[in-house]
Amino acid sequence: MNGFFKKIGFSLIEVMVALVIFSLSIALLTNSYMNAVIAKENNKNSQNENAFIAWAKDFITTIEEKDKLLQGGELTLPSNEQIQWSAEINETEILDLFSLMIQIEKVENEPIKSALRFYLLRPEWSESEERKQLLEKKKTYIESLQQNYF
Amino acid sequence: MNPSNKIISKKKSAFTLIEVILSLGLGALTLVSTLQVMFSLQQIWTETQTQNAFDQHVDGTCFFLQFIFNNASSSIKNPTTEIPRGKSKNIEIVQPNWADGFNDSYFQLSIQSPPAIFSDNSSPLNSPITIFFDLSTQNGLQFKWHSSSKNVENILDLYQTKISPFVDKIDLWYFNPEFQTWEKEDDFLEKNNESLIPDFLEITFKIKETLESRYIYLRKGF
Repeated sequence: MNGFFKKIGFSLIEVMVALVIFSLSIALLTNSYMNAVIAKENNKNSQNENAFIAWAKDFITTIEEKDKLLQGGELTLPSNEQIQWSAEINETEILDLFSLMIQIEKVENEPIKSALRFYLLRPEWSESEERKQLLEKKKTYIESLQQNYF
Repeated sequence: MNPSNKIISKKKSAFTLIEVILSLGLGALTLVSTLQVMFSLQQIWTETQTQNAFDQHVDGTCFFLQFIFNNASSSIKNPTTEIPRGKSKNIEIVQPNWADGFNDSYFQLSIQSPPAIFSDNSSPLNSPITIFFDLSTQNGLQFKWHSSSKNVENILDLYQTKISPFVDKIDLWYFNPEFQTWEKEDDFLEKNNESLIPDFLEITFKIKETLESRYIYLRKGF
């Protein structure tokens, strides 16, 4: 008889364990749902951001002065947001060819953050001494090739 | 069976009136709240599905437009003999002679390998096409186009392809490099009697009361 009455309901421990498991599952589900919503929102903005980055890249590469490029700057977007950009210029092994690294970041909100690297042919950036050295290096290289060949 | 067991079974044989009323009340409350939750969930689900479909349409349309603009080349009449020059414009603003009243300005761009949406008598085209579209959005966004080798004198010579019925407005964004400011216009800006190509098109899509805006970047040459 005693055994029968014992099994008629759940014990406090059982109810608490069930509640904990239930709340954990709800928390996990809510978390996944929120992540999905945030990802969707980010994706919605990414199309505009890609367009803005493409414009910023084109605008920055129209700057011809090396010093102005190295200074970096800020740009306002049509969405009234501001982006900050900086540039790094490196010489390459090829004469008059420079590698340009542009970093673009949004001033206030995330997530615009982009780093672009590409090559520019800018003879006016080559300093005469460096240009001379590079030409000399290339000349020596070609001469050594010719010597080995003949 | 001993007498004590008998008493217990008699006690549990029926519910009292209070118990029945209470359980009915609780049951009704549970039913009402469940139905309410179910209806709300159904409504949210339907709205979310519509919103998702709309978002996908907006994304797809803009992806397609950006692709078209990125792949536009200068309007070459004969691509076998003429090669695009470095500084030629890939997008032009024209007033075609077939346009009503000759005053409508259209974007004009050429696509060398048109996507399958541009088909001639149900077969995809393998030759370049010239596309025109203006800023009017009475019937959504639609492209007028023809094969680049064809001479067009009448509007009836053009094909029309609807791109999106949900396009509500097209705004033009011009960047002023001197003051580093943006100007938003609903018509083309002019300089020396020539229409200027904007930096961005802001395309606003509308479904019911929901508005979505996307920016399309117009690269002005290559």
